[in-house]
Amino acid sequence: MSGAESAGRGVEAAAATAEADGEFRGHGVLRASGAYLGIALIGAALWFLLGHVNAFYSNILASIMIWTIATSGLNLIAGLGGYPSLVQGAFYGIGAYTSSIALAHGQPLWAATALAVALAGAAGLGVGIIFSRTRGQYFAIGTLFFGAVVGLVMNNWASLTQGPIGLSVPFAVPDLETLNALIAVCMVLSLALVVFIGRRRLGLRLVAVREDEDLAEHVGVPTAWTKLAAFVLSACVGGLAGVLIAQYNGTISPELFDYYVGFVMFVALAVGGAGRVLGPLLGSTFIVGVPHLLNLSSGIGQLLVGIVFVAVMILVPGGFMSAVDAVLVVFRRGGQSQ
Amino acid sequence: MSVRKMTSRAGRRGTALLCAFGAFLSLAPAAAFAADQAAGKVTLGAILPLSGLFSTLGPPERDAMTMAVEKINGAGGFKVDGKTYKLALKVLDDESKPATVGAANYRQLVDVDQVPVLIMAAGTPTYKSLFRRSPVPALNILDSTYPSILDVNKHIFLLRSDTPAYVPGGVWYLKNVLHKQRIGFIGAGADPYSKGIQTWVEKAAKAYGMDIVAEVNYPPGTTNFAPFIQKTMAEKPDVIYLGGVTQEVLPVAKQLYQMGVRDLPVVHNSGATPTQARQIIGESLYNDVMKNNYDFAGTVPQTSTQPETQQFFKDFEKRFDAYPTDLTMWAYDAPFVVVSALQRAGTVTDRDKIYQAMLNMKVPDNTISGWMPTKDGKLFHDRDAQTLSEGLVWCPDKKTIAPVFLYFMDGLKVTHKRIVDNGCAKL
Amino acid sequence: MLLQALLNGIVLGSMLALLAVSLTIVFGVMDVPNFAQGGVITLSAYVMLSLHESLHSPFWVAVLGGVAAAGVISVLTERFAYRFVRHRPLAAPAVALGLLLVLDNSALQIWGGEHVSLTPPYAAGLLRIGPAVVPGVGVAVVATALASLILLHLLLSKTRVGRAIRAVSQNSEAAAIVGIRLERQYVMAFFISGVLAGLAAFAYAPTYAVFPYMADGILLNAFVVVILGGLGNVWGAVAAGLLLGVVESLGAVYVSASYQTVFGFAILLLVIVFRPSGLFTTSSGRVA
Repeated sequence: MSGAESAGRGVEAAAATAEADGEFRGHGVLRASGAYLGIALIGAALWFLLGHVNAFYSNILASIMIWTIATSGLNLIAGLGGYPSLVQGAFYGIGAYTSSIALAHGQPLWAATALAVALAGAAGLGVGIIFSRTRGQYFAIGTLFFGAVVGLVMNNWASLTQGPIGLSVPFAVPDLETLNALIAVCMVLSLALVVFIGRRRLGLRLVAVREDEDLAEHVGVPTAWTKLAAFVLSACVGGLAGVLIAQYNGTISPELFDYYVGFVMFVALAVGGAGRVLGPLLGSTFIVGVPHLLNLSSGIGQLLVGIVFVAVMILVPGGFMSAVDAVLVVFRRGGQSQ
Repeated sequence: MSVRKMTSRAGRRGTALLCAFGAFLSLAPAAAFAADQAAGKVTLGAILPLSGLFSTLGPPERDAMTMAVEKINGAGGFKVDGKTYKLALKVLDDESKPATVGAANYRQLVDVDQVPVLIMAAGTPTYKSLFRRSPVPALNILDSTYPSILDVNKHIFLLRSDTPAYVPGGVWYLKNVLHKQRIGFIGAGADPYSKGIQTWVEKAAKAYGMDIVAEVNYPPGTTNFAPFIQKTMAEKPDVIYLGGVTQEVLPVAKQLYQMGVRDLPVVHNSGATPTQARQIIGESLYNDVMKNNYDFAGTVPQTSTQPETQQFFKDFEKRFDAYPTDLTMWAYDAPFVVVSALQRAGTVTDRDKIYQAMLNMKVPDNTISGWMPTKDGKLFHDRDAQTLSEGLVWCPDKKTIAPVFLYFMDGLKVTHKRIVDNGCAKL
Repeated sequence: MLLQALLNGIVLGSMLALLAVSLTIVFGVMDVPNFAQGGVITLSAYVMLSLHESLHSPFWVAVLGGVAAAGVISVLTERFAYRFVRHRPLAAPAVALGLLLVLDNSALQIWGGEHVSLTPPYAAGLLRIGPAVVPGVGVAVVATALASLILLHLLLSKTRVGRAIRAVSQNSEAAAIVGIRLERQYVMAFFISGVLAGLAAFAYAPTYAVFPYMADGILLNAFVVVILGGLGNVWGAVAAGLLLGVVESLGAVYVSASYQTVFGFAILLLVIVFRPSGLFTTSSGRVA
C-alpha cells in the first residue's frame, strides 16, 4: 500500500471513529446524557405496561424485553465490533440451563445468576479465543457451527438437561411484580451498557476494528484484547437474558440453544439497526412481537423472519434505525429551511 | 437547557407511542370470559400435538373429542346447579414443543381463558412450574411414562392405564406364546415414553426369564439408524423391541426391513394405525414391513363387546377415514368425564371444588373405554383411570390390525388373560 | 461388523460428497455459503412426492420433475436474493440462512409437517456383500453420486460452459477481461448446483422420509465436507466427503453413536481455525 493510500485510509478510519464518537455526542439520534434518560423512560413505560395489560400481551412484552437484553449484548460484538456472531443463542441457553440446574440444587437466585453469567462469559471467552484469527464470513459460519455443536450436546446430554422435552424451572423470584421489575431494570441496564461502552475507549476501538481491522492494528489498537473483551461482555449479557427467560417462562428446552435462535437474534439486531443503541429494542419488538401478536404458528413465524431478513438485508441494510435516521433528517431539514 | 432538549426525540416519541398503545391494550378481552358465562357456555381447553414429532397422536384425539362434544351439545347440553350449559372445545397445538409453544398455550388457556379443566397430552413434566404458579385440574389423555406424570402435580389426572400396566404383558406374550428369549432393544432415548418402556421391559424380562442381549438408544433427530441396527443385530436377538411413539418406531421398522432383518418379530407400544403405516413406510413396502409387527397398548374399540363402543368404532372410521386406536376412546370419554365432574362439583368456575369432585367421582355414563372402577366404584385409582390392555398383530391379507392378546397387570403378574388365536380371520 | 460399517460409511460418504460438490461450486464461483440448498432439496423432494403420489406419474418422471424444479428454484434464489449481496460477503451467510427458513417453511405451509415416505421401486432390494448388507436405497445413493460426479467432471472439463465456470471460480476479474459474461456464469453455477441438489434429493429422500426440515442435518454435515475439502475444490469435496462418511460411520459403531454428527462439527471447527483453506487445497489466500 502506498503512503498516500495508507494516509487516505487513515483519514477514513479517523473520520469513522469521529463519526462514531459524534454519534454518541449528539449528532446522531441520541445524545449521551439524554440517551440514559430516554432509556430509563422507555424502561419505566414498559414496566408499567407489563404490570397492567392482560396476560396474553404481558407475555409478549416480557419476551420482547428479554430478547432486547440478549440482542443488546450481541450489539457489542456484532454491532459495534462488526463481527457477525451467530452464536448468541448458545450463551442465552447456557444462562438459562445453568441457573435452572443451580436452583434445582438449592442455590439462591443471586448465586445461580452469578454462576450462569460466569459460565456464559467463560464460554464467550472460549469462543473468542477459538475464533480470534477468523474473520468475516468464516467467523459467521464458524460461530454458527459452534452454536450447532453446543445445541447438539445439550440436546443429547439428557442426564443433565432432560433432553428435548425440556426442563421445568424452579420459580425463585418472590412474585411476578418483582420479576417484571427485574426484567425492566436489566433491559435498561443492557441498553445503557451499549451507550456507556460506546463512549469509552473500548467502544471506539471496537468501531475502529469494524471499520478497518488491519489499519487499526497498524495504528496500535490492541484488536485481539478488544475483540475478546467484547465477546465476553456479549456472552455475559446473553447469559443474563437466559436466566430471566427461564424464570419468566417456567420451563426451558434445548431449542433455546439452537443455531436458529442465534441466527434470529442476529436478524433482530440487523433489522433493528446494528450498532445503534435502540436497534435491539426495535428489532426484538418486530421479530418477537409480530409473530406472537398475530398468533402465528412457529412455521409461519419462521417464514416471516426469513423473508423479513432477506428483504432488510437487500433493501435497508442499516435496519429500522437507519430508516428512522432518514425520516429525522427530513424533519430536520424541513425545520431548518423555515 | 430545557428538559425537552435533554431527552432524545426518539426516546420521547417512542414513549408516547408506547403509552398510547398500552392504554389501548388494557381494554383487552377479559370481559369475553364473563360473556361466556351469561350464554351458558363452558370452554374445554386442550393442548394437543397437532404437528411435529407427536403429530400422529393429536389429530385423532381432537377428532374424537369433537365427536363427544357434539353428542353432549346435541342432547341439549348439561345441567350444573340448575343452569344449562353447552361445551365449547378449544384445542391449541403445542407443535410437539411443550417447553416453548406448550407453555404459551398453558398460559393462554389457564390464565387468559380461565378454563375450568385443562386437557393435556404429551410433555407433562415440563409444565411443573406452570402448574405450581397457576394450578388447574388437568385431565391427561395420553402421557404414559415412568416415573408417572402423576408425580408432577397433584392436580393432574391420567385418563388411561400407565406404562407399567401394559408393557410387561407384551414381554410375557413374547416369552410364553411366541417362545422368544433374546430381546434386542432400540429406543428413542430422549423421549420419556421410550425410557419408561425400556425400564419396564427390563423389569419384565428379569421377572419372566428373558435376556436383553442388546440395548441401544438413538439421539433425537436421527434419520440413519444403520449403526444402531448393526450394533443390535451383532448380538443375535430373536425379537426386536422398539421404544417410542409411532413416528419414531415405524421408520426404524422400515430400515430394519431394508437392511435385511425380515424374519424377527418387531414389537412396540406405539398404537400405530394402518393409515400411518402406509404413510410413513410407503405404499409398496408397508405390508411387508408390518408383517412381523406386534403392538401392545390399551384396548381398541374393535375388540369391545359394548355396543356403544362398537358404534363409536364405526362412526369414527366412517367420518374421519382413519382407524380409531385406544387413545381415541380416552379422548372421546374426556368431555363426559369433565361434565360429570362439573355436575358433581355443582360449579363451572370453582377449580378447587372441581378438583375434589374429580378425586371422588364414579365412572360416568356414556363412556366407551371400559373403565375398571375401584372397589368403592370410583373412576380414578389414585388419579389414574384404568382399562384392560391389548396386544395387536398385523393381518397382511386385509392390511390392517387385529387383536391377539387381552390382559390386565397386577404388578408383574398377568391377570384377566385371553389369547386370541385367529383375530385376522374374524375381521 | 467392520465391513458393514465401512459400507455404511461409503453410502454416507457418497451422499455427503454429492451434496458438498453442489455447495462448493457456488462457493467457488460466488463465495456464498448456500445454506438455502437444504430448502431446495426439501422442495425438490416434495415435488417428486406430489408428482408420484397425487398426480400418479411414474416414479422416474416424478424424479425428473423434481430435479428440474430444483434447478429452477436454485436459480430463483440467485436472482431474488444472492445477487444483491454479492459484494457484501458479511451478509451472505445470514441471507443464506434466511432463505433456508423461507424455503423450509414454505414446504411446511404447502404440504404440512408429517413425515411421508417416497418409495422408489427398488426400496425392498438388497445387495449382499459377504456378511454385510447394503439396502437398495443405499446402492442408489452411491450410484447417483458416481453418475453425477462423472457427468459433472465431463461438463467442467470438456464443455465451454464448464470451462467458463472454472475460469470465473479461479479469477473472476481475469475471466471478465477475457470476455466471459459473469452474470451468466453465476446463474449457470446456481442451476448446476440446483440440479445436483435435485439428484441429492432423489438419493436421500427414500432413505428416511420427506418432511420440511429433512435436509438441514445432512446439509450442515456437507458444509463440513466443503470446508475440509477446500472451498471451490470439487475433487477435494469428493475425497473429504468419503473420508468424513467413513470416519463418522466407524465412530458411530465403535465409539458413540449418539455423538456422530458432533465429530464432524468438531473437525470443522478445528479446520476453520487452523487451516481455513481446507485439507486438500494447495493454494492459500481465501482466509478473510
